[in-house]
Amino acid sequence: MTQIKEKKYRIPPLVLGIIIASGIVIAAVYIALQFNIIMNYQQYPKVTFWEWNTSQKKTTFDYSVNIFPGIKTVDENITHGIFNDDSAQHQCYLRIKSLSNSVNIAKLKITIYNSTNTILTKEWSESGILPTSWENFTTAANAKYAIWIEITAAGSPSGASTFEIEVKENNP
Amino acid sequence: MHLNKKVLSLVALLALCSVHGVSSNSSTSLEETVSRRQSIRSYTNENITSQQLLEVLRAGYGFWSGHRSIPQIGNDYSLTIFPINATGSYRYIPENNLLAVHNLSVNKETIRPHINQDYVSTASVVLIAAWNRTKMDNWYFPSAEAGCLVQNVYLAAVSINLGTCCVTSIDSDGLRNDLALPHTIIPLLVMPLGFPTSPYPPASPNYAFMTGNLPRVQYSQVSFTDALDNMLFAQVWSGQGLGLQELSQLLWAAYGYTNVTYSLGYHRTTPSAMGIYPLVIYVSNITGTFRYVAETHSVQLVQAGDKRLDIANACGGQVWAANAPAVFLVVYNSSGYEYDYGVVPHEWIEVDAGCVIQQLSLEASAWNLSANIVTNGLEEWNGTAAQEVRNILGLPSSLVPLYPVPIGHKIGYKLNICVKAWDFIDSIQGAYVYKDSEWRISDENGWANWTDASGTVAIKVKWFGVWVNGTFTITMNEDKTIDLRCNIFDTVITCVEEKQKAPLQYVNVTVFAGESRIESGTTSADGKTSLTNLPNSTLTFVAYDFNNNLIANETRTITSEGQQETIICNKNYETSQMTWEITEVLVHSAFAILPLTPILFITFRMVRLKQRIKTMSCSHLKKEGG
Repeated sequence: MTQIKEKKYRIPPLVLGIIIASGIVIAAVYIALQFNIIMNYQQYPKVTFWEWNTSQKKTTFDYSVNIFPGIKTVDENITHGIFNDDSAQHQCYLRIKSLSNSVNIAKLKITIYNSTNTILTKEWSESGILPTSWENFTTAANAKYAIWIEITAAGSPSGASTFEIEVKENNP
Repeated sequence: MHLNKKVLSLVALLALCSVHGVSSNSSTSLEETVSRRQSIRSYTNENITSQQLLEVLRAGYGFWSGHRSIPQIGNDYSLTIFPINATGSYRYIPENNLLAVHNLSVNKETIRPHINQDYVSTASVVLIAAWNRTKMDNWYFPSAEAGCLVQNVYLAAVSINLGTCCVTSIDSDGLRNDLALPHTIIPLLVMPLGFPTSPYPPASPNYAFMTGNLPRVQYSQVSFTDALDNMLFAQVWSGQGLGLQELSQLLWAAYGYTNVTYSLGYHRTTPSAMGIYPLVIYVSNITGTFRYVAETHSVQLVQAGDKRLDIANACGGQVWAANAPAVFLVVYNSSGYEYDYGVVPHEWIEVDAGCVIQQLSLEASAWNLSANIVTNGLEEWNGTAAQEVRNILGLPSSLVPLYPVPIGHKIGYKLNICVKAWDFIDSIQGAYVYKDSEWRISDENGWANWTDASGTVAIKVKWFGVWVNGTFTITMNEDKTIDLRCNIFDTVITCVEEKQKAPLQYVNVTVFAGESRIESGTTSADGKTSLTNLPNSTLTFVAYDFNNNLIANETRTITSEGQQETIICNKNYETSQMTWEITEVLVHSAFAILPLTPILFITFRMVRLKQRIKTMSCSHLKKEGG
């Protein structure tokens, strides 16, 4: 009778321990590194707003302008532009998230442009549903863009109105 | 009181419109208009507009190029005109060509009992011409002045197809009481004004009568309103005598016949109380004195020799009148003109005379002549001066000399001034161009023209109440044509909101000089609008939103061509706030699992190997036990 001896196939505990330990260390380093990168990006994403007066990057800013019944207020270059501070182009998206007093506004048009390209032109009317769908645009590497806003007030605006405008950037 | 103010404002507004919007038929020659004139005594119930009323009133007693529409008879203008319609009674203000409310509770029905002609109150408006005794204390001159007014109202009415009639048979005291006028204001006559029930027939001078020694009357190229505008009351004339054609025109205009018939025959160029036409027209020139015979359109010699200086001397020593090449004399023939109710009142005769004086003045203007009126010494009816004139001309005592009217060629040269903006491109219409104290309003091509400029004249230009050209003098020693560059500038106005100075589109910007609106413009997408031809002055810029709410009101001083001004709109606004936020989307975080891949791989491989060994062992035991 042939006897087969069952032999357990096993990795030596030391080797296994080394492998597991090194994996945990690598994973921890990687996660720490990623966390650090994320934190940095949240403070200064590659695509940011750019305050023309102070030459500073911003991830948020407020802008206010006066409107008059039936009159279109046109600001061809508002206080902040958009700056892609990266050596690669980035895909971005823009939408109106909310509007506190929609009866005040008949139309809003936003144009993002520089001296060579207009990368976004979009007009929303008062009948639109909020938040609006995302409008995508591509910022070229190391490029700054101005923001052109046209707000047409309704026939009889009453009280202040607040827009929330969201921009998001894909960071591959 | 509040209502009165509202009505006054409305009427004043309409008055302003009318000054710039005279709609009469300006292409009809004066002679044709005069030929169409007749008294209308039947009116439709249609109301005339305020603009039409003011057009008639301005022609009747208003101002034209700095002078009154009628000559001054006596030492002052002494009339006040009260237009009365169904809504109330008003007072005409000639200086501004507008109506002021007099009394809204006194309307044309109120005054009906004081007018002996029932048809009068059927017209849309009734005009009452009243004499202000505080301005002239003479019983006759105001009636002659009223006659001039009457003639102009007739012609103005004809020009815009309205009808009128002169009614002197009135209860003056009753009208004064109704209108609550002081005793110094005396109604003299009334004139209904409305749409005639029958249109005016075609008309011309009565050529069938023109068989005498005067040439046929011709049509001038001048309309009634142009004749008013060009009228000049002179005291000096050139040495040129009047031609026979000019004499013919003037005599026909004064008292000639038209070809329009009525129950008693043919109409004349002027109306006459009771239709009796009691006047006789004489004309004195260097050769003698002649009597006009309207029935044959001819003149008959009355007295040979130059009597002009004698006549002028008889009239208070007014020798300037003798320098005119022709002195027309309006004379009343008192014989045989008693009508059914007795002697015709002298005031009515004066009204007739006034109509003739006005016709002479208008026709003179149409033929580039100037007229005047001599009143000195004639204040008293059939007084000493009248007696002297009668003696000079050898007239019978039944003839009462009333007024000499000297007429001659204007002295001087043609002065044509074209008012230009600073850019020298735009010609300015509606500017007041002054030649000394006389002014003309520049026409649609910018021209203000004179034909009688002489000596050294001072020129200045007023545009929307602002002097836009320093006074300069011109020596008139030949005809002159001048393009006058004025401080009238084009500007660019930008409207912005206050927070970001963002331009505003669709804003209406209107610029005012004082109360006068100059121009309006609407801003384009860059917030700009061009406002042209603004006077060199501090002006008010008013901005309005879509609903005509005022959103800015600022003053700016305009001093240069192409001046750019920014108006900050800071009234009646709302604020629009925007919060912008940017976020980053990290598409590579899913790869964080990569470092654990070797461990998972090894563990997976071990499990698989263990299962395989176990499988192999079981199949071997089955074979052995088989």
